[in-house]
Amino acid sequence: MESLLEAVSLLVGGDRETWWTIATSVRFSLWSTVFAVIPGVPLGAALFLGRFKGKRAAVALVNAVMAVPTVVVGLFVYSFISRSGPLGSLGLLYAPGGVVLGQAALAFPLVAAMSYTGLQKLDPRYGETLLTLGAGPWRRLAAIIREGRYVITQATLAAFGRVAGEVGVSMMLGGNIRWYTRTMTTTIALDASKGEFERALSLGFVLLALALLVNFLSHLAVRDGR
Amino acid sequence: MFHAGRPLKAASRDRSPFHTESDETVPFRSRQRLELRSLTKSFGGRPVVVDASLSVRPGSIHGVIGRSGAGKSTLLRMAALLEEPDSGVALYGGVPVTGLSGSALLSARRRVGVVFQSFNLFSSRTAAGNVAFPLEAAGVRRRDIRERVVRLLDLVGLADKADQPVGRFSGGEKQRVAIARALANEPEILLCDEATSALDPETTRSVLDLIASIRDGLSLAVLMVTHQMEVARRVCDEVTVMDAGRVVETGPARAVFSSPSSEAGRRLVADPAEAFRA
Repeated sequence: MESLLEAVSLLVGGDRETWWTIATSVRFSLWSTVFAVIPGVPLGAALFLGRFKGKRAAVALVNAVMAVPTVVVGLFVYSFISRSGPLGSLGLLYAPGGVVLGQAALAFPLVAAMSYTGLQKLDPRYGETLLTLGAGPWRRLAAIIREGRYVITQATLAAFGRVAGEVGVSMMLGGNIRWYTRTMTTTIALDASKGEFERALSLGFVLLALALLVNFLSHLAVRDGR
Repeated sequence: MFHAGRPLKAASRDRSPFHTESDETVPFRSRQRLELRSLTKSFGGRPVVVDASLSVRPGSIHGVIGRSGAGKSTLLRMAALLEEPDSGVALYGGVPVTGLSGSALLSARRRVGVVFQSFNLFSSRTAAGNVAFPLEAAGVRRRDIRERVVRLLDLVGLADKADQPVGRFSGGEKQRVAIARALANEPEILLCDEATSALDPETTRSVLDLIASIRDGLSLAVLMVTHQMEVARRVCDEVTVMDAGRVVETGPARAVFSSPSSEAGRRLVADPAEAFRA
C-alpha cells in the first residue's frame, strides 16, 4: 500500500526522472511508429492491390515476421548497428536512434499485416475499379490508403501500443542508459529487479493508461469506419 | 424517386458533357465499335470462356445473358482489359488492345468506362470528388475538371448533390455517380457488370433509362452483363446468350426473346430464374 501511494506521488508530484522517462518512451514510440508506418502502410496496400505470383507467400511472410519475438528483432537490428555491422559507423547502438530503429523494425510487419488484413474488408473489386478509372500505380496506392484510412489508423495505433509496451528491443539496443535511452519498460524491468517498486508501479499505471487510450482510439476508428 | 437527369439529346446538341470553356476543340470520342474476337480464358486448366466473339455497335446496348458461371463476367473483364485472354483479341474502334502493358494499357483503359454492381465509390470524397478522380488521374487541368464534373453530374441528375459525401446517397444515386465517373474520361465504350443487380425495381428502371439516354445521346457502345432478363429485355438492342463459356446465340433482343434459337436461350426466356442457377 505504501509503494502504491509512493507511486502515485511520483506522478502527481511531478518527479522529474519519472516524467522524463515517460516523455522519452512516448517520443521513441512516436518516431518508431512513424518510421514503421511509412513503409508498412504502402506495403500492406500494395499487397492488397497487387496481382502477382507469390502473393500468398508474401502475405504469409509478413504475417510470420510479425510473430518474431522482440529480442530476436533486437538481435537482428543489433547485428546491423553494432560497431562491426554495416551501419556501425552511424553510432546508433546504445543511442536513441538505435531504439527507434529497432522498434520500427518490430512494428513494420505489424503495420503491413494489419493494413493488408484491414483493407480486405473493402470490396475486392476496388483495385480493379481504380484500374478502370485509368489510375496509375501510385495514384491507386494513394486512393486505397485514403479509402482504408480507418483500418490504417487502427494499424498505426496498434503499432504504437506494441512499441510503447516492448522491452527487449529497448534494452538490447538502447542499453537502458539513465537520462538517455531509458524508457518506461526498461525502467520497470530494472527497478523491479532491484526490488524498488514505486517508480515501476507509477510507470506501470502510465503504460496501462496508454494501452487503454490506444484501445479507445482504435475503437473510435472502427466506429467511424462503419 | 429518381429523375433521369437532363435529356442527353438536348445536352449533346447543345454541347457535349466533355466540352470545356477553355478547350473548344475537345472532341467526344464516341462512335467506336467494341469487338471481341474468339476470346478464350481458362483458370487453373478449367475453361471459363471458349472462343467467344461479339460486336457492339456504337449507339447500341448489347446485353450478355446466361446462367451463373456461364463466363459473362470474365468476358466483360477481358473487354475491360482487367483480364488477359489466353487467346483471341479485343478491339476498340478496330484497334487491337489485347496484350498491351504500361502506359499503352493505361491509355487503352481510359477509352472504356466500367460500372460495377457494387459502385465502389470513394467514401472519402464527395460526388464531385468521385467524378473528378479519373480526370485527375488523366492529368486534366483543375479548372476544366470542375466544369466537366458539373456537366457530368447534371447529366445523371445529381448536380444539386455535387458537394455531398457519397456515403449518404441511396443505391440509385451511388450508381448514378458511378456512371458519371465512368463517363468522365470520354470513353468510347461503356461496360456494365450487373450494374442494376443491387438496386430495387424502381431504381433499376431509372438507372436503365439513364443508360439508354447515354446510348442515345453520346452514341456509346454499351456492353451490359446481367442476370436480370427484364433488364436485357428493357434496354438491350442486341443480346448474346452464353452457356458453359461459349456464345450460343446472338441477335436482336426482340428476336432472341421472342424466339430463342438455342437451348440455353429458350431456358432463360421460359424461366428468368434460370439465370441465377449455376
